[in-house]
Amino acid sequence: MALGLASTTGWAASAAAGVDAELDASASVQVDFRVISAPVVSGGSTLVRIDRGASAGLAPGDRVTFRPLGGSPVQGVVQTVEERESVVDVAQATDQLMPGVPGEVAVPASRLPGGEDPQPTDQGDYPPIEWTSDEVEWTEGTPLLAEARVLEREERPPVWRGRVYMTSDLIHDGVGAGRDDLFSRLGMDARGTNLFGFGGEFRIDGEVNMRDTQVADGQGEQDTLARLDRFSYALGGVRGEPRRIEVGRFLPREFPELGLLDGAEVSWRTGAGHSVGASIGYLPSNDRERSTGDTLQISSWGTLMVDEDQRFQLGAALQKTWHMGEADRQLFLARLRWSPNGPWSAFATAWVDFYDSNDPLKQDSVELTQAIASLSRRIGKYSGVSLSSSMNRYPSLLRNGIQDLGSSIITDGSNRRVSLSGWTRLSDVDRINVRADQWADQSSSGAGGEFGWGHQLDGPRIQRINTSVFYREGRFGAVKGLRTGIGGPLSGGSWRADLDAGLFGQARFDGSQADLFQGALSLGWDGIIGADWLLSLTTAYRFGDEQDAVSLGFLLQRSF
Amino acid sequence: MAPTERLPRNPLLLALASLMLFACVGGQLFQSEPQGWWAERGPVVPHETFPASCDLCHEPGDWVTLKPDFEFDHEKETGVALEGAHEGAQCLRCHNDRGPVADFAALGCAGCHEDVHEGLQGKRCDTCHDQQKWRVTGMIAEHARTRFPLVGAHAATACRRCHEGIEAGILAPLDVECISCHQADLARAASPNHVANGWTESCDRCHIPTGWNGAAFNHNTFPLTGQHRVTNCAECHVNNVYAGTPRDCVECHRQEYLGTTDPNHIASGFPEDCAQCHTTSGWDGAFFNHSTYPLTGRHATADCAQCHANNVYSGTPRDCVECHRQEYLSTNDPPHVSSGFPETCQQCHNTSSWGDANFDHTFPINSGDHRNFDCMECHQTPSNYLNVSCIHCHDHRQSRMDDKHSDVNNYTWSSPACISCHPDGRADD
Repeated sequence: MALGLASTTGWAASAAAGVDAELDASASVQVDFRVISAPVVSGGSTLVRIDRGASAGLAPGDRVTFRPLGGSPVQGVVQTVEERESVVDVAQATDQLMPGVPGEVAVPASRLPGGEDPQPTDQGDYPPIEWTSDEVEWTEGTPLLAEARVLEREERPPVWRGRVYMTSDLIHDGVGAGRDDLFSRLGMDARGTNLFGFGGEFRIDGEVNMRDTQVADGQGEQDTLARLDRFSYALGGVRGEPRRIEVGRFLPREFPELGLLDGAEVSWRTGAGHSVGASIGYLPSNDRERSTGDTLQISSWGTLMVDEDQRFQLGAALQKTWHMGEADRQLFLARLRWSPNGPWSAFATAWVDFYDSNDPLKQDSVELTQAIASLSRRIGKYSGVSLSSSMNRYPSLLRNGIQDLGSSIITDGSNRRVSLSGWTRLSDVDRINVRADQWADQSSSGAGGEFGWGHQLDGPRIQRINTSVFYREGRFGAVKGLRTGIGGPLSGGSWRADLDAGLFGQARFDGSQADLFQGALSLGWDGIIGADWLLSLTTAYRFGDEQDAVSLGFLLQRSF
Repeated sequence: MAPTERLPRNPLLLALASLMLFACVGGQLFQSEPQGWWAERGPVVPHETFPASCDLCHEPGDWVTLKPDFEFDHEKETGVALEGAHEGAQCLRCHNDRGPVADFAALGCAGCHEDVHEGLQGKRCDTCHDQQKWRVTGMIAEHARTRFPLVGAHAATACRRCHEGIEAGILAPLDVECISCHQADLARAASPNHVANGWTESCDRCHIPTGWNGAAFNHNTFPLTGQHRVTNCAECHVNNVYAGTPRDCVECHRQEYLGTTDPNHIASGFPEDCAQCHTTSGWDGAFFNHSTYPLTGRHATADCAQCHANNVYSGTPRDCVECHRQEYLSTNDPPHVSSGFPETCQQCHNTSSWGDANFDHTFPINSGDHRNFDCMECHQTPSNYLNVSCIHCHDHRQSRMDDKHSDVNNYTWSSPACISCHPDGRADD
């Protein structure tokens, strides 16, 4: 704030004297007071807040002159003073004192920091400002009183932003003959803006994965795989350019449900927020290799903003695929997003597959393959409830899925979940949460629940305690258990220790070993090291019946 | 399946093509105003509430570069607290040309962050991710909220082993039937050959999720103990036929039953229920429940053939003398035959030793006047212990006995008469 004072004193003195001519510094110090700049921070009809306070020498009773652009000066008197801001009582109500309107206030030099004769020494390390903004060429449609023209993308210097990272996880399983599993990832995710002077954005995201699994029977595996997740160039889709085109390997921005694409997408958005788009290209394989060329797709989509605030959006998409030249998927997507400023929010997406007579398992049918829905309501600032539901079946596709499912699973397999959760704050330091849910699949059903309590502390090392108990009827048995954890600040980051223990009973297994007690003790630390580096360390020990495993992991990331 | 489709007959495809065409040319047909869909001008970061002194934040020369000591209290100035990695993020990562940041923030994480899971996980990214780092932890707890809690080997398994391609964001719903993930294990299961036996589902009926072998395997219909525990499956389940495998020992061990000579089970008429004598630890050390003739004393360690001569086990007599007649006939101390000892050896002898004979001598010889007498003092005929002499002793001379028995009818001075009236040696009998 001292910087603002120093930079305004020289010319402000002339304004205080009511003289338009410039005065040099030697003349200004001969006056018994200084006039400093005090722009409006927040406006009102009779009370406005200005961007200067006691630190700038202001005191109640000082007179302030506001000079709204294109309007007459408005007078006011400082009513209350804070460290950096003041409240000014404007004699005559006006709607001209919007944020940013310049203001001036005369302050006795004796109040200023540094005594009677403040020198502009606070200019400090910064050179005098020399603004070099070009004149803005006015064109039809540009408001005459437009604010400062922002540089368009293509006018800005190229900028790279992103991150590089390395993560590695080692698991040593000591049960039986033993197994060691090492998985390391080295990757980069970066976006370059306006690299070629067109204002576009170049995106590259790739990883090198290294796997090394050692088992006693010699059936381990080692491989190294380089994978390109994103490699695309996008133009438009920003203000000033409602049309957008993206080519390369990318995830459709508006409808990621359509899947990663090697191809091109065009889209167009209206001022009201509606949008339409279409894409063509190959869908990379649905595995870690992400190889391409087998599945061709075309798709189109549209979104509709239901309300003017653009908080209620409906969307739909159609996708048609061909796998190895044969017609494959006909997918219809429907989506709802409702996130008003109020306490409610809702979200739902549905995947509907259409099958023709050629499909060997689901011929001539329409099936809701997957659906996700959630409805949440905040209650006050610290409480809320949420109801969510999901279901999925397994589409009959020529394109390979993650699992090689049998025909009976594809035909009859399903999974449905519904859960209700709530949370509230009991006091400034105590919070509870509760959750109950139910699931059902093609063969069985079950339910579960969880109750948790969290407590905040003021300790130097321990600042949170969490405990929860849970019960779950799973597909193959039931588990009841306890989780507890503590955490707090440590060495510029935060540490945590968690214990998770449960008693599991296998349902259809009638041997004496059907009941298993198992637990996991984990430790972790996350922190920022240096300016742009993130380090995360984790270790865990899993113990109990038929379980003896240790894991170590880390993430090292640099953002730029 | 037809290699191609006839486009005109597919209404979905027609609709899709129409929308694509509209999307491609729509931008040209409805050319927008210069400021496009976001009509607001000015910097991408709203400056309405900022101080008018630009140099508080900006370096001279351009609007892009901020001062090195620039600080901005996002929560104080906007009411929105920045947590985790957001706290140190560059302003333009959120406030950029896409549009008012509030519109995107209202969509939650997906408003700004690309949904690498392709919408399949819903919008609650914070279920798995925190704001500090994108690396996921705590999945054991999260899995416990599903139908597939991570138990046993699954808890110590890398995520990618089930969620293939998770490092690329692929997180589609999985079927949790064991076989949906363990097809390779099923194919490798050669001992026994699961596929050949039709065991291609419901792994959980025999296995617990801690491993495929050892204690994790349930053979409870026929517990695998002793030698069975290390036996190759095919030894019982011949030709990999598992259905209908008999549980009776002899059905698998008939050859041993027929071939054994020690003892010869056939000749001995042993039952085919091997478990009566044998355990699964081995054939040796068989324990026959000899309850019909308890084997005590020397019998417990005797070789079977000593009683069961010629490996004849059926019809073995239970009377001692049938096996020990030779001892009965030959013993001279005392001579049992001439002494008229009964053939019920157990009357005097136990199974520990012949020398520990304990004859129930009704006439008191362990106390009183006859204590410590040598047998021959009364049994003066060595060949016949039935002959007992009382009157040869001076205490029982005839004159004295006659006087004492003067009032006894039919009194005679002879040893048999003495025993007859005084079987326990007492005078008042």
